[in-house]
Amino acid sequence: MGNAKVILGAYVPGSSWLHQLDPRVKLFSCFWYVVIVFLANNWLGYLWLFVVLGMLIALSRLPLKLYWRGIKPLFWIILFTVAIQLLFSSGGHVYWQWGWLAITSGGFYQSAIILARFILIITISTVLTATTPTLQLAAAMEAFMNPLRYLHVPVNQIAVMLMIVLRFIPTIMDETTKVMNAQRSRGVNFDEGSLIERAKRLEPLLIPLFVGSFKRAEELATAMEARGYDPDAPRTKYRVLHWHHNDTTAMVSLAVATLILLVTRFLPV
Amino acid sequence: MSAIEFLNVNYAYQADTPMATLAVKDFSLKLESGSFTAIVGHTGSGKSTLMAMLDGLLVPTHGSLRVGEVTIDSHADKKTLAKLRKGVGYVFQFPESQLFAETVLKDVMFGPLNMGVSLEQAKEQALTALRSLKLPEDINDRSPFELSGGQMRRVAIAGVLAMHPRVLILDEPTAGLDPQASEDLLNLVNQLHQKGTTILMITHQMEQAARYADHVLVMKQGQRTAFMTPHELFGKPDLLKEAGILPPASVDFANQLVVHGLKLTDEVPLTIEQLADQLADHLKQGGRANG
Repeated sequence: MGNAKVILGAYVPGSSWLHQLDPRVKLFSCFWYVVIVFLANNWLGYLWLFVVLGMLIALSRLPLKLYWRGIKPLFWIILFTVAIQLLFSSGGHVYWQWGWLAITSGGFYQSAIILARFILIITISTVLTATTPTLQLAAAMEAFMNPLRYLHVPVNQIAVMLMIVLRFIPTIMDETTKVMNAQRSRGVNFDEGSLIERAKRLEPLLIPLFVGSFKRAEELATAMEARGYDPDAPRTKYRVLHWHHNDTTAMVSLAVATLILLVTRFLPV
Repeated sequence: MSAIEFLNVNYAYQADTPMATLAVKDFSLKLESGSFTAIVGHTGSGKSTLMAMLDGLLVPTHGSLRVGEVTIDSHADKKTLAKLRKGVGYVFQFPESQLFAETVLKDVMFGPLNMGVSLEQAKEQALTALRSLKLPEDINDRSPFELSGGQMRRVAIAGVLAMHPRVLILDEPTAGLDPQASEDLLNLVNQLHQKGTTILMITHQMEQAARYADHVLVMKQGQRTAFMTPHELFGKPDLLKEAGILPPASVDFANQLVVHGLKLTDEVPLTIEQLADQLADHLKQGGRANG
């Protein structure tokens, strides 16, 4: 199912160094990277961020084309934001002006920063999702939610819910195709007519999907309880996350990269 | 003129990507108008893909197919596909999952209305279809979700029949039904066949293929392994073995008799009744049970 892959962030199986890292390290590093993107304050800082990203892409051993595919769906949003920055920012030398709109050197500078941030943040997220299976990502999220337990947040239940959602996305995608085909066969044309007509045609698709999902939820709940599922019992894991030497290396590298970025802030460029 | 014709049809999922998989390979076949074809084969043998193309839900990657006067190839536009669907009804596996309307009657009228018939006409067609499936009239104004599983199945099938398709595709229509409901349903399908509807039925139960179909299409890895009458097919144990098909119990029984030295007739007993008749004839002619 092509759609399922887009939504699940396109994990690409592999055995690279990045693939084998602990998902907690990868999730944390990804967040960390997104934060430090905003620490860069000159072109050298951004250059360094791009170098780090390039190294990570090389480590993932995945084709560059894949990362381009991560950016492509957001292309218009990026273009729009950059254009706004370009036309509405002020300061510096004025190259062109028309009423409120002006292209200035300041605007160029601002829009270049926005463009760089977009590319960096989207691509680092693609590195994470392309090298980490969804269930491992969920396990990492659960690990980070763990401290919330002391605030009486039901971390276990949230984790189980997250797992079930991820597990059933492909199932519901299949179901959607099936019901769509059945209704097409009964003469529905899903992709023609005005917006309102199209919205109306969703009824014969959405109602069966809702009914089916509730039914499946009920069956799953019964099956889980029949096998003794207790939401409050302490949970064990099928795949236990282990900290390896490589994970330490990754964390140290992250610290070094951050340090270098901090140094660039004080360089006179 | 034959009702249905496949000409060198190919279908690839995710065509033009490295992950392309050929589900149907160079498939050609002619089916007579008013015929009853059973389609058998393992999961992933291309049966459903083939049927989806016949209903215009998928368009062949290469080759073409024709249903009546409508011809479909890789360039078919939406109008042609819609025209194709008008003449073809498709009862999917577990069709009860397609019910959505507030009342049974409205759900069954949905198809005919989409085909562009008038409200009264649609209502009439719906009522006739519901009656032919022996559904009690008092359920017409109830929600389809209040019905039993078997009734929901029948309402969903009525929803397809109400469109008066000339070609009817059924994908394992009896899966999950009790024996009585299965037999009722198959008898109804047979009646439609007698009235001239061209029937294509995907099934895993060779008893059904043997009893009702006039031809059996055996699919394997996207290609046709055999297309012949049940008599021919079930009389060829080697072919069955190669295709991984277990013959109906009656054929199996007769084959076991042959192994033990008793040949009843040259005719393969396709049903338990035929087997019983053959055995009775044999005994009447003075043959002993142990040959």
